[in-house]
Amino acid sequence: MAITWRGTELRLLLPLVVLVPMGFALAHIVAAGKPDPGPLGLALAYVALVLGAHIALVLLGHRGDQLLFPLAATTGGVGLVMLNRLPQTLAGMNLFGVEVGMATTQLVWFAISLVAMVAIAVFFRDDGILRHYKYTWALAGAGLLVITFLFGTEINGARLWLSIGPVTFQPGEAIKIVLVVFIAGYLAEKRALLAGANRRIGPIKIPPLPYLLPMLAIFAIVMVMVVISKDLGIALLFYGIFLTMLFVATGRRSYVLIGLVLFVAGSYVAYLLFPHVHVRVDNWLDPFADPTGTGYQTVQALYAFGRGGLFGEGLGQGLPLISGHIPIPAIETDFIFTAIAEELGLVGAFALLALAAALVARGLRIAILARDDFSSLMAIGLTTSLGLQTLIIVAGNAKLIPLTGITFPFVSYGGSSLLASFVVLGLLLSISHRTAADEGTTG
Amino acid sequence: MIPNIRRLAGYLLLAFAIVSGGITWWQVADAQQLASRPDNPQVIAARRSALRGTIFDSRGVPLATSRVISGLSRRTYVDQAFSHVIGYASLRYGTTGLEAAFDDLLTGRADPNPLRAVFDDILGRQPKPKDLTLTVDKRLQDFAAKQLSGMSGAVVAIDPRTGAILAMTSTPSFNATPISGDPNSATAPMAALLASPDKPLIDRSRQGVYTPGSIMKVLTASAALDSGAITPSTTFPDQPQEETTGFKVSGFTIREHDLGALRPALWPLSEAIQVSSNIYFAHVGLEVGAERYLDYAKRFGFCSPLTIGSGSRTLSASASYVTKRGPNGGCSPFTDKVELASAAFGQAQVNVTPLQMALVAATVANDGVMPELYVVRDIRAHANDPSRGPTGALIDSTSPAAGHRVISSQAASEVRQAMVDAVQGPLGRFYAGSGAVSLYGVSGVSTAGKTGTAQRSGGLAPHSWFVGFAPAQSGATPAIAVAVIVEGGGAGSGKAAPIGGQVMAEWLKLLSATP
Amino acid sequence: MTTEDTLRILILALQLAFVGLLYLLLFAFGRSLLRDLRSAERTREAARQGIGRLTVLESPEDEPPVGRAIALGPINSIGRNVNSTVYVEDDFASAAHAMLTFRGRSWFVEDQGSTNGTYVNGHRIDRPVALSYGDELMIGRVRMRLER
Repeated sequence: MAITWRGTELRLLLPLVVLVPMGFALAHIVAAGKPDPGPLGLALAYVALVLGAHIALVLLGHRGDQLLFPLAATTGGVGLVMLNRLPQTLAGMNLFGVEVGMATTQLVWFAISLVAMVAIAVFFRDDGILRHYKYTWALAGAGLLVITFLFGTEINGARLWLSIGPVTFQPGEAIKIVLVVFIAGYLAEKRALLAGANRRIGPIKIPPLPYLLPMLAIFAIVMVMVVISKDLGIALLFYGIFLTMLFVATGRRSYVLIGLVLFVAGSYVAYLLFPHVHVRVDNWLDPFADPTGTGYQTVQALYAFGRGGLFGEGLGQGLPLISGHIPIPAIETDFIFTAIAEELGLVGAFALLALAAALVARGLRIAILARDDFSSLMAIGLTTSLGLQTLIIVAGNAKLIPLTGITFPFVSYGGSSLLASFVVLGLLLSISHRTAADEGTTG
Repeated sequence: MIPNIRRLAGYLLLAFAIVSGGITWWQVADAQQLASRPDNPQVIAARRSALRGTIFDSRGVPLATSRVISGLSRRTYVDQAFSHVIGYASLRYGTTGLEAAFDDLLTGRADPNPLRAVFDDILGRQPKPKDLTLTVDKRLQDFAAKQLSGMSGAVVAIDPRTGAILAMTSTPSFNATPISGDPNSATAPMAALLASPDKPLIDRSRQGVYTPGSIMKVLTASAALDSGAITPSTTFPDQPQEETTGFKVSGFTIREHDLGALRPALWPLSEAIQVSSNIYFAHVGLEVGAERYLDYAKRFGFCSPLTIGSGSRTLSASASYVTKRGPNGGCSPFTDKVELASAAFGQAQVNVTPLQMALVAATVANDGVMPELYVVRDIRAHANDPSRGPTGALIDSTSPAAGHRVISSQAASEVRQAMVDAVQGPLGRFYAGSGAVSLYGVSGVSTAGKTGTAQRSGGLAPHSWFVGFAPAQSGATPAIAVAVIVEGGGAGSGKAAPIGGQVMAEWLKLLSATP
Repeated sequence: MTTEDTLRILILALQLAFVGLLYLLLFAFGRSLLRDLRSAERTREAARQGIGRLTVLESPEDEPPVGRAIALGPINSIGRNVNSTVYVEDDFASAAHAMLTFRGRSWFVEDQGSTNGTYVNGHRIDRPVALSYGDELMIGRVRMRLER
């Protein structure tokens, strides 16, 4: 492998050398009340990790997209600054009897995730494993879901977590990637049949069932299991990814329409049947009806937005405490965006959204330039997973849709989320690399 | 497949735009509304640790002080006589009275200087609270409260020339300090106050609404004289007869109150007011006419809530009514002549607050010009040591406003004369009992006054009322106008009048003593 | 101005610097994105100036839509198969309907054994035929014109 010069990527990563330590220093100065930048070790470690990953990509001759990683690194950097500013006791891990704070834990996961990303980006050449064993992957994914359902631990009313030794992780994140692989493989193979053959019911073209059925079946099973395990956010995400990939593969808007109709119908049924869904929806419609009970989370998040205003309260200067605690629960995971919106204002929130949109744009570009349908569909699915996840969580924070237990990619605290997001990034980079290698360019 | 991807890009872009719009809504468009909600932690946090400015009386005696102890702002109230007008600032129960009206200045959230406010906001400076100086003199307030002790009632005293509130107290009162401190220890005292049967939390001076009885005749006389419906020498030929047989109005018979040993005669205004003749004033009311009477009442402030202060920082008082309350607030028209006749001597549907009646007295005292009420004299920067008085730099001072004319100077002086006669005239003294003058006539000074005995239904003891002002001799400018009510106190001359006289006497003494 | 105030000014400056730097980075990303988009446009333009394209004149099923100019490579498959270079959605078109190839200096069209045949300027072809720019091709009910 020849060394490739990734100048654009370096140029876009360098500002982080200033940005992240500055963010850390700023939060410390505000907290301490004197011009003392405080311990910058974590910030510098993050910068070192990011630059290290870049160097690894350069040395290993990677030719994939040069904007993807900087976008993720910037987003992750802002997230780390925020996580460092929050009380470190909110989350963390216990490593051999030592309590490790929240930001440090996140940094450790960054390290692991970056290694995974580089490894996948560089060494994952032959996607035949993914392409040809799609049913095996699907079964593995479903199996993982069953295991989680049976043996998983319930946190916050959703049985999402699996404990293996000292680590608790969310299998949902892994299943998400498996899902994309499976759908991409299936659609790439069956695209002609799905798009071409049709039967009409009025103005709508219906796909031939024998071909659509296996995929729908497996997908339905996944959905049911996810809903039973009470994580509606993941269900929405999976469903969204499925519909998006179907649309791209077939170009049939009618499929999306039918899908949306089914979704609305299913949601309504869920609303009637499941009390916790009922509570969530009522709370979404009017959180001020019960501002201290069920509506508490939503109401406090809205207050945070209001306090933020256009320019924010300032890093470290917002988030007033009630009885010594931050009144917004899950602020390091579900509501991390709200915290950023409050302290950095609308301008900060918008910047974060813009970064996410740019990431999606690059991912779609990778999909367009990809050499074959499978890679293209994979890229679509992976990009959509990042984009939809961001949209769902931000929309939930802002009361545009009901709240779900989804994380903000690269920003929210959580090893599984971080690892999965960087794995997605790695896969996108590997697709981009293959396109560039075939064309003799660097992405 | 590529065109599909482009379409997808479009949809996703749309989704991002919608989400951005949603956030903008909460962060910019609706932010103000969110910020004013009381359970907003920003509001709560600010309130908890915010140092409140001191409230001083007119001579710089601290009445309400604050200290921040371990992050919690604690308010201490010195004098229960002020509990209603100052109100309380409770972390658990919110704010009332002046604490509520001036909350933003007391916590320092508002700054009259807009440029400094912007700088403070940008630099994140802690807001500096402001101190208030009231127009109320603690000595007079305490004196009035002492006169009322053991009874339920109120005293309102106004300076007729300036509109400054000299005293405004309501009994029974309460200790506001326990409910203003640590929210956890505030629940028990508040529960006790709420459960108390004589309702100490109600400010009777501003929010107590009562039947006025004969003190209404001051307003009736003012309306009649100013409109020319009567002159001071007007008499009603049938009146002596009706004193005994009753006055028939539209089939209803209006009866005189018990005149005791007094023999009815043909009385003009002065005599009629001295004996407080209901028959006479029933006639007067009919002479004025329903529409005109209502109009004068409104001119005196009836039918809409009164406000003390100006701008956005006011204390409000309940509205007083001459007739039944209309569907959208305000007074309905008189239903018939009987109602008009009865209202003219303060019965029927008339309901007044002590503040309203004090304002009527002050208007008459001020030559027919109704003063603009205010109770906060100065706003100053916070003084760190309240015991030294309001030493902070002066930020704003209320200059008394001009007031507006309600009745002519001529009419005012005629009413004044009648009220002087009611206290000091021969029949007045005869009617009220010989010892009465020394009780509520301020010695050496002419006093104007009117007692009222407000009948209540259900066999309850009547309310004892008094309105008056002093000095009232011709050529003298009155320095104080009062209204006093003692709930269920019986005859006006019994409880309310002596209190009124003594409060006025006390004030004139204080004025001449202090430099 | 107290020392507290200088600290506050410092904090204010840092806050502005943080957000400012973030936005500078954002603009840098934006510039790169736009640059790539424009170069993609340019390559498409270049491709369009290539060997030829098919302009769609008639298309009852609207796939490809009327008016579209389909860029052509050296070898193009035409048919109802979605993976074809020129995808034609029409009931009367076969999955692999025809091949359009550029050999030497001219275009050739060859029917792939379709059910309803391939028509050039209205005549059904039964062997590979050379095409000139301006010739009209009929696949099923879809009519297209070969242009430069």
